[in-house]
Amino acid sequence: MSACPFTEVVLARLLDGDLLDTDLRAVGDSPAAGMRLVDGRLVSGEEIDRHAAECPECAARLRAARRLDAWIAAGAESTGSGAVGDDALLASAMAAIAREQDGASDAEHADVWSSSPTPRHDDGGRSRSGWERGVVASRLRLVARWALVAAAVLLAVAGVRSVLDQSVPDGRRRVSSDDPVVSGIHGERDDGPRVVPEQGSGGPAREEVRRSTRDGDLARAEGAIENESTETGSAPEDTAAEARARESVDWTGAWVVFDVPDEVESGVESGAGHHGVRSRFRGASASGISLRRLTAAVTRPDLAAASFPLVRLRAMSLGLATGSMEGVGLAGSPSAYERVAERMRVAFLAALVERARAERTVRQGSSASEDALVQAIAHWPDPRSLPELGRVVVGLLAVEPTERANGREASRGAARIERALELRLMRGADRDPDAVLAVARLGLSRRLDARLVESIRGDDRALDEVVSELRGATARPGAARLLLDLWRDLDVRGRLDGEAVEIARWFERDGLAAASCASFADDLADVLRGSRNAEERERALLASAFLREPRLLTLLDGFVVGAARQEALLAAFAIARTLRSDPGTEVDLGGLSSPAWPRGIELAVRAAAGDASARRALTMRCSSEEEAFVVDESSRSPTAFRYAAAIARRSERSSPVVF
Amino acid sequence: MEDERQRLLAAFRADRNHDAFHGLVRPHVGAMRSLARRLTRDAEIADDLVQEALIRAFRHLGDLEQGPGALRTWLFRIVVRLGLEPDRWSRRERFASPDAHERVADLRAEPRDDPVRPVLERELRERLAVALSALPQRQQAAIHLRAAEGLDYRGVADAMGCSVGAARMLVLEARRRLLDAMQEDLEP
Repeated sequence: MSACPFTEVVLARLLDGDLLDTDLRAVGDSPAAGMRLVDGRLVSGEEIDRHAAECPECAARLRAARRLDAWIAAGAESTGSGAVGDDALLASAMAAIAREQDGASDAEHADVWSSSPTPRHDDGGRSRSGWERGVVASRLRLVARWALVAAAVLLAVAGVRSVLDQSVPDGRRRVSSDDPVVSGIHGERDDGPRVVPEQGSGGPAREEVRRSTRDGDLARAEGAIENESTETGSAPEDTAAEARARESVDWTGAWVVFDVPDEVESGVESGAGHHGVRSRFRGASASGISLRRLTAAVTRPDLAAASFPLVRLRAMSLGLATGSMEGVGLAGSPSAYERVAERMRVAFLAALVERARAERTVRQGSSASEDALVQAIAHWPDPRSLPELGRVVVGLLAVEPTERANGREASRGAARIERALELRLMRGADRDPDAVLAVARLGLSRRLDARLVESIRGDDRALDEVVSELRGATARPGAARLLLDLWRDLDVRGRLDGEAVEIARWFERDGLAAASCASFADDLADVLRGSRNAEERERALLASAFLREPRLLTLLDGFVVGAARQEALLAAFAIARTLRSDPGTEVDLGGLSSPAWPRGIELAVRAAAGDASARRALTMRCSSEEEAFVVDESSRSPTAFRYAAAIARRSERSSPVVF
Repeated sequence: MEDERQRLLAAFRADRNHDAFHGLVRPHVGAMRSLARRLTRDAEIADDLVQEALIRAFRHLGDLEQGPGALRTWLFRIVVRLGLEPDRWSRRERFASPDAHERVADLRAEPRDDPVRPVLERELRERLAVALSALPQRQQAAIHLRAAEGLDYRGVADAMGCSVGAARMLVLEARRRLLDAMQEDLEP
């Protein structure tokens, strides 16, 4: 807000041409005429001009106002549909006027237009004109009206029949492919190719089949297209060949046929303007299609969510698949999204990321891209695509060299994504599971992970899903740290009940991808090296026992030698399990052993790792009751391992570590 | 041009000639639609509004006393009057999401080499639309007529059906609020 009292009059004068009377007539006719009241005193036009030239604040405000006016004007232009749309609207209005002239009475007009801003016109001339048309013209109009009524009845019958056809449960209903509305509405459920005629072409409708982009399916799809295009769209029965063709093609029936893409295509190609929605709506009503179904088709909430019309996506989509404009409508429809061909999904996500990257340079804006990105990540269906997902997300979040110079903008953009996710997490896992899954897969920050822990607290089902995601994602940064956080949260809230070993199985090596194993090992190593919390280190050691990652052996060795008793035992247990993980490998502790290693622990480790001589040596020190427990369980349970170590210590009194 | 418009107006007054009406209002339909969209924030409803405004204009154009020179502001006035009847338009069922039209406009655009630019422009349009929608409707109409249609205060006053002073205040207040709301974007 400008603090200068002159700003308003400066804008009025220099931007809006608010000429004062003193500019137009001689001064002195009226002392106050043409003066403007500024800050309690009257000022003339000359004084305003002088002030505008001297005041930097007013000059800046004037520049901003000029820019603002230009934006408003540009916005008004950009929202217009151009001359074609204007003509269409005017033609529609003229038709309405003609109908009104023909059919409405003056009394009806008085009711309908009683709120007219100007007095109603007494149109006596129009009545005289009607008489002059003569009796023949009146009778022609009468015939025309009855013909219209008959046509409406026929169309209604056709509409009922169409609705009945659509309700056939076995999916063999037949919908006229010549009707774009029918094609559009039933696009999601139609098993066969959808045929979208070109609007306004005047000739036979151009048929465009939405089909899978998979190469293997393409030839079959084209074959089916040919079959489809040579028949009449309203044929009552499927032919056998067509049925086979449909069965053989993996149609992406879930393509969302919203108004946007069809409108775009028809608008671009036929110049129909943005009346596409309404025109199709009216056309559908006339042909008997349910108003409710149409309304539902064009007011779906996921259409509103698809608010990122990416020019780039359009280009990419068109490069991938014919008729893939529907990709724009996929953002808010996870179920549809899951069934779209793989290449299109990659293009779609890449476009989302591109959009989100662009938003990083904007100070403010909608969160549509973040929302769409979250949904896309949460519903990414194919595990084989996860590496691709990881790449694009890492690309999204990475600070590029060109952006380092402007770190403020970059950090702001990344923070925006985090904030968006954080806000969604605050709704709770039950209300926004997508956000929970997205955070679990992304690993944006420790802060966001902490929010995730809070959001799923007490929700065992969400906890299971998150753990599953963390184990399933490819090298999700900080996955093991998040698992440890979840573990700690359960621990401090007293919800473990001695199930620590069960929780430690979250880190079980079996089922983890190699990249995830490495990532988990890195996280655990960070905790083991850096944590000052003994309980956290113990959890990490126990997790290491189930991860069985050889890269951690050296680190674990250090814990056995120099850590407190509990940590040393857990580290030894982890070493034993790591060495035992491959039974075919001969146990070799030579590299790990050092003079500082307590021999009692070494014996227990060797036995638990599967060394036959060590097992025999340990067994000799056991009672018969102890033997089974020590031999069988010491590699599975830390408690049994501790017991084995205590037995081994019986004859190793020289051990520096007291168990 | 003025003679042609006088001839068309005379022809319309003579027998309510459709072609004459078409010729008179055609140059203003685009501006009417733009103003209607600003007031309703929905392309479909805006077109319905403009169609109704055109029907009204057809019925009452013969009563226009000022001549064809005032036709533009007179048409705006009808649109503003209709647009300021929120109950009339809010009751109507919406068949498209509010930004559907904008999405179509974006998608119609040719692909550009720089994917960031259309995104930025769209963001700016969205923020401007949000700021505009926060204004009272009369201020929205006033600033639109001033900035987008280039009307002076008297033209705005004629279109709004108010005094020149009131139009001036509407425009200045609307602009002040928009400048404050979009201060960050307007900084050089």
